[in-house]
Amino acid sequence: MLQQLVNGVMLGSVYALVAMSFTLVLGVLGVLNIAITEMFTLGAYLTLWAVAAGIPVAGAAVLGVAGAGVVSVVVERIACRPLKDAPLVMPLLATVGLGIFLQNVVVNLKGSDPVPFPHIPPFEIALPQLLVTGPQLLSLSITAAMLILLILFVFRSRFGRAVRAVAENPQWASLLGVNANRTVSVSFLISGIFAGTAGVLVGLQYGAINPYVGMDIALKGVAVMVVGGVGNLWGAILAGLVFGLAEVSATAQLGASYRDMVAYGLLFLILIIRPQGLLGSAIREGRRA
Amino acid sequence: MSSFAQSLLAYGGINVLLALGLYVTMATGQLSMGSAGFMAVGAYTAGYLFVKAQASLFVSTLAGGVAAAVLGALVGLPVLRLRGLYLVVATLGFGQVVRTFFLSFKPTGGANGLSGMLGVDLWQIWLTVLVVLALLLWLDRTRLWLGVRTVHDDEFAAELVGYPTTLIKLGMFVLGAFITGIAGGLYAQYNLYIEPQNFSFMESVTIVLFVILGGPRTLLGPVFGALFITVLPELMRGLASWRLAVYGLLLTAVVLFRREGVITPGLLAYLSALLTGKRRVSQRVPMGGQPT
Repeated sequence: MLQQLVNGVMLGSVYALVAMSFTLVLGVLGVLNIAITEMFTLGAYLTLWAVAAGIPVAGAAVLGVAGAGVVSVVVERIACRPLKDAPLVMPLLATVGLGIFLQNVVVNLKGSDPVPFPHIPPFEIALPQLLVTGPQLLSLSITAAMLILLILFVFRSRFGRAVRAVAENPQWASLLGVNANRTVSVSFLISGIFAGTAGVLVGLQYGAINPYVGMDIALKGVAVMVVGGVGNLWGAILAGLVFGLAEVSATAQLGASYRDMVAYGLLFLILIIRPQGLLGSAIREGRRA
Repeated sequence: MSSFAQSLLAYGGINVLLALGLYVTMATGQLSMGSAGFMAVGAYTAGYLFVKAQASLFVSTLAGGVAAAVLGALVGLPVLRLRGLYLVVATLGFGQVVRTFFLSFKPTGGANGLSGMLGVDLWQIWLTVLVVLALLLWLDRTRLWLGVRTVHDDEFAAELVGYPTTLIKLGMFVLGAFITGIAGGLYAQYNLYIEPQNFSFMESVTIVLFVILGGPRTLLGPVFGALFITVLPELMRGLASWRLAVYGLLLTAVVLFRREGVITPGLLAYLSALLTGKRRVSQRVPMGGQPT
């Protein structure tokens, strides 16, 4: 039971990272950036690439995650900025296209089979009823640190204020001297870093990665974001934990094949009874409508 | 005709039906990212009835469409209250729920898939396409379709002039699910074997690509888009493993450079003016809005 709780929190923290990644971009630009699924994959694969080039794991992970962030900025330039005035499904579809492209570049270069991820020095806490591995512990602390940093950044820093201003109204923000384009770029950078980190952490926890995990986990991140309340950072954390725990207990009680059904069932239920999400306030009709 | 050309034509026909199903839904301005879900319900219902209950080809395929339509009504009722991104996410989630349901549903084989279908003839697939096309052409001339287009262009205004907007949206959603279900049924029969992975998120995206590439504002658009995407892999054999990567770029490029799709009402008017030799080319037909 306690073990399930720990596993659920681990999984949940990864979902929270990805959900943050989605909600940041959606909040600032009003775009559901599906290409984030591949920032997850790229974070992991670029790390592997750097490791193969002889860089130590920690440095490689930083490079991989930074790479995912940079690609995310490029995605915004190609698929979102030119479509600023288009109906909101247009940038969505453009990012879907880029996501498929990136996924298949990885498949073609690295193959579709799982590739092993480097082991970080073994370390674990083994209590009679509980096993917490090194990667799990690392992953939890990194996730917690990043979530706290992001929340401090968004709510306490000058730049965070710019982000919130652009999210509120880009024209007014520009009039008041905020560089909206740069703010959006930085948001995409952070978003890519979050998704990339989630990819690396999942690789470390499971000891392997394949090009399709990103799509699986990140699409669930979208569900987590909606359940938590779109644009709500605390909601993303809460819903991430709810999803993690629900999935782990569904796997334990019903079997592994029910786990996704429980997750998306939860999404469905929330959309129907409380579309604004757990912590969301009233739905803001898309400003691009 | 070689068996290769036959299979290309068969999948082409099925893809046209899938595209038309989404076209109908999108005609009211509702983008669905869950087409594969309705396709799966149609495919599994048809396959199960045909294999396990010995229903005829016709009855089982039709039942697939009906099952998808019933589910469409049940899902559409709550989901169509949602707009824009929420609708996209809800339909995306719906598609995933259906896929994972069949992954764990033992009577239809779970992850092992379902087999035992005996195939369907090419003419039967294309007869279905023609019937659906005829139905949609007829619908295009009715007052109902005027309502559909009004809802697409401005739902609020449509409501003000007294159209039952919710009913229209739900009706088109259900009709779209029905056509998609029929397509799924034919897919199951023709493919002889189905498994949950056939109905992934990627399949839904491909169906969206059919419609967006071809153009969501004319009946010809989705037909063209579906056929083009079916033939495309054969046109670039050398790129075999890069096929999906090219799809992705293609989708992005269409959205960036020709948002209304390849075939637009304006293009059709232009062509027909050229063909009939009437010099009304300059009198441009309004392009219409984009799907939202």
